[in-house]
Amino acid sequence: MKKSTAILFIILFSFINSIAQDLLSMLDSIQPVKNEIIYEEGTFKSIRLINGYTSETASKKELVFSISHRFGDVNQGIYDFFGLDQSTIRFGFEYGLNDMIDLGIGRSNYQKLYDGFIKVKLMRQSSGKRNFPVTITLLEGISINTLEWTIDEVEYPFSARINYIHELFIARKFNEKLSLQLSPVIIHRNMVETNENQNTVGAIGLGGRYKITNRFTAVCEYYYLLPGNTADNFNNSLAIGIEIDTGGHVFQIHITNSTGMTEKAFIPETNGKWVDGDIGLGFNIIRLFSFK
Amino acid sequence: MKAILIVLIGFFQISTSVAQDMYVVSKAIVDFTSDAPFEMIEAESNKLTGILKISNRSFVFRVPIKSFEGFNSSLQKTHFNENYMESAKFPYAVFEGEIIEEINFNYPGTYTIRGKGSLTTHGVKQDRIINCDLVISTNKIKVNSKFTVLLEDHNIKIPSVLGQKIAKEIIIDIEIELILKKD
Repeated sequence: MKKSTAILFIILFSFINSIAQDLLSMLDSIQPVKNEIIYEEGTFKSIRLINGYTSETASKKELVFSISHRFGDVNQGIYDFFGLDQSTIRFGFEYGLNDMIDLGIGRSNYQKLYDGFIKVKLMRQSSGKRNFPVTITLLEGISINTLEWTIDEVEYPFSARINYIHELFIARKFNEKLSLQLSPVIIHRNMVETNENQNTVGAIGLGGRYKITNRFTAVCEYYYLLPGNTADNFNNSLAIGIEIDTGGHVFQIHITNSTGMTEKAFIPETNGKWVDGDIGLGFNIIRLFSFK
Repeated sequence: MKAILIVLIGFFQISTSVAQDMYVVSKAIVDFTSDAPFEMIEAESNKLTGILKISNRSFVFRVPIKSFEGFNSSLQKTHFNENYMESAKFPYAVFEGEIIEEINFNYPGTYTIRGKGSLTTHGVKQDRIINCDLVISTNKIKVNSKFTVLLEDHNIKIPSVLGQKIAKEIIIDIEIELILKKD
């Protein structure tokens, strides 16, 4: 008798208990959480990783203004104040037509390059109703060298100034801290300095970020040149840095062996060697403006 | 044997109370505003769900934090989810409790009521009494409410440098429509 009473009490108690906390579970049964597509957001803090871009695009009616600086090589010593006497600059704008497509323009004093591009998010990393492991963004760009020709006697066509870039960013946000990106790229330069140099150069970029705190992020970017003359005569671009997110701005401070900040400039035309100390300090300041 | 009978009666009573009518959210807009000196941030969600039981006037409302849209930039939305609300860890804001006033849902009209219960946001429970306006019509209830939530109450920390950009007290504006669900 005692045993059965105890069992009954347990049953009764569990019922009372279930009634006490049933509202939420009742809600779950009446209005179950819909199985929707959940898109991953904030794979990277900004549209720029270091020298190159990320899979992120400017969202709808958002203008991203970036100022980038690269100083000279630190191994030049005190005479050049460890490279700070020289600086290469690029400023650029990127505007989101919608959440998937943005347009960008930029100007750099490296070869007086003007660049323009379109970035399209082809696929977005998602979970829930549709599982897709990565975000894929396509970048199609053009850049124009506007330096005066050094040899006056030869007349070059305007097309000799033009370079094209086709790049794919395949990025995955593994968790809130870690995101990695693979970026195969093809660069075509209509005219190169010597016959040995390749007009068309392929490379594979590897990059990533690790959030140390909510505001500090470690970033790294490497572009591996595919074998060929360019790979033999130039160096792979490597950059490491930190990113500081202040709320409205993103500051990126880094060291890199590249001088240029446009794909055409830093992927096939990096001269500096890390082992020789041909590395320079650089920073990007990125500011978001919204026109909603 | 007697005990079994009592339990059976109890069970029967419980099951009848479960089967009673209730109102279910059919439409909802939750809007929040952070009105700080240097920046105004607004976002809204239409993903609120909830039920209101007539028998004991108890209710539960729940909104997924990640469903808020708006903001001034995409980066801000990421900050909202990752830095402040930690929505991966605390995916919902929940208000659960009961209506203090004994109102009769069979009489159409406008009522001002107080909902007493616990508001859980960012994993922190706070006992709250929230004033609401109800408009009851046949098989339908409209709820309107405006109240504030102190970030400090829910252990949501804002870095001091952003003190001028994020308000300490967030204004919540809610419009809900519930319809009668019969079993």
